Amino acid sequence: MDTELIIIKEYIQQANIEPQFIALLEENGLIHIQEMDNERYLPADELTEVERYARLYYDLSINMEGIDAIHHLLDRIYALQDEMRTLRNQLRFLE
Amino acid sequence: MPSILNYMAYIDYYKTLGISKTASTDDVKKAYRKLARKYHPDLNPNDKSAHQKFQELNEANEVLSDPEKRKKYDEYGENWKHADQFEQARQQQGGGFGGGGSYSAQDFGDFGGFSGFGGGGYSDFFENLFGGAGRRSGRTSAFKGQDYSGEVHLSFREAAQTHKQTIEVNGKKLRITVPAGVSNEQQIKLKGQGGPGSNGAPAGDLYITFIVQSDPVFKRNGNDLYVNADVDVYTAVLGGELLIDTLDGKVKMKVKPGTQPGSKARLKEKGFPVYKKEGQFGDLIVTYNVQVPTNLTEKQKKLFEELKQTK
Repeated sequence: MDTELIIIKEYIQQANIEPQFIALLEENGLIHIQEMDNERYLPADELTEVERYARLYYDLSINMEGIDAIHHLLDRIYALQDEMRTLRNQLRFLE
Repeated sequence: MPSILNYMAYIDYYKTLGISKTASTDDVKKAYRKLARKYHPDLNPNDKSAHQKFQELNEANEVLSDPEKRKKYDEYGENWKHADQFEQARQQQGGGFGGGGSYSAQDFGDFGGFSGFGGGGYSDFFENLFGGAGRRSGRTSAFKGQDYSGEVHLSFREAAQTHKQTIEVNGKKLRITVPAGVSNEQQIKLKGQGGPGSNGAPAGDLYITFIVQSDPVFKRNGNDLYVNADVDVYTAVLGGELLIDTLDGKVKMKVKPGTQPGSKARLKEKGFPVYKKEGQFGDLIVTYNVQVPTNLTEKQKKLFEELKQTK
């Protein structure tokens, strides 16, 4: 399946984000930048995550190590919430 | 003065941030940062109370970190309902009251209905004290708008069919398509339907949680449905046919001779639609409830006796 790509140069200008921030996210393996013909792209399905990381970084002054830890913890929270929802529905079935 | 004012609560912004009234701007900033890290919606997914708390923190920070707003809040805050009287007193005393700036009743805006914190993120108290204008733009960076969340209640049958629903979000009507097969408490995200972004950044997202009601006939487990079917003892013993309720109406199914009470049969693809997989369905599991006759006629009793003798 083709993924929509966003030109990073244009995105950081529009969103008023520093290029170093994107570089830090990439270094920490939090985003997966693609390069074609000397142009760097961000997969569109990673945009929501980048926006979240930007809020954590700029609004809450959380450093990259903290963001990385939060990223893992949030994944676990989402998985647990999904599991809780499934179990609640199963419990409802048994009632 | 409209009576609705009596219901509008004063908000102690210092208490919200856990600081004293003498706290410096730096203390305000520190307290806000610390609490924001705890209650930020990005760190508390699907937690309404944290979202509410975060809005309260933002509002407190907006007022207390802005010297002008803080001055106005400190001057009138707790007694904001009596701003008119203060103003009168100030005029009578030749403007000597309080020694601060001059405020007119218009500064307090129009008094609206009480709704606490709305999706827009400001309490009525704030709106009335500072009005809609003059909010601090704060960051120069562009950031995505606030995410909104809400619930849509569906009947069991509605959840089994792809259909359109109109919902209202902050006064705006949205027509959404609910795909067949949604589960109870399932959440979907509508990108860009949340609060507006700042400085040209995209709008926030809207998270909708579906609440699916139970059904008196069917029980659901994932995509499979469970239904109980009464079978008379003769059909259970000799076999026969039975009409079974499905989501599409009744279907005829064969009952094997010697069917035991509580035994189950599976009707393939007669269950709940699989979410976002058109044409795919779960199974319908039928549990046989064998009905033993209670009021036998003399003749029936005799026949059962004869059956007993044949054992």
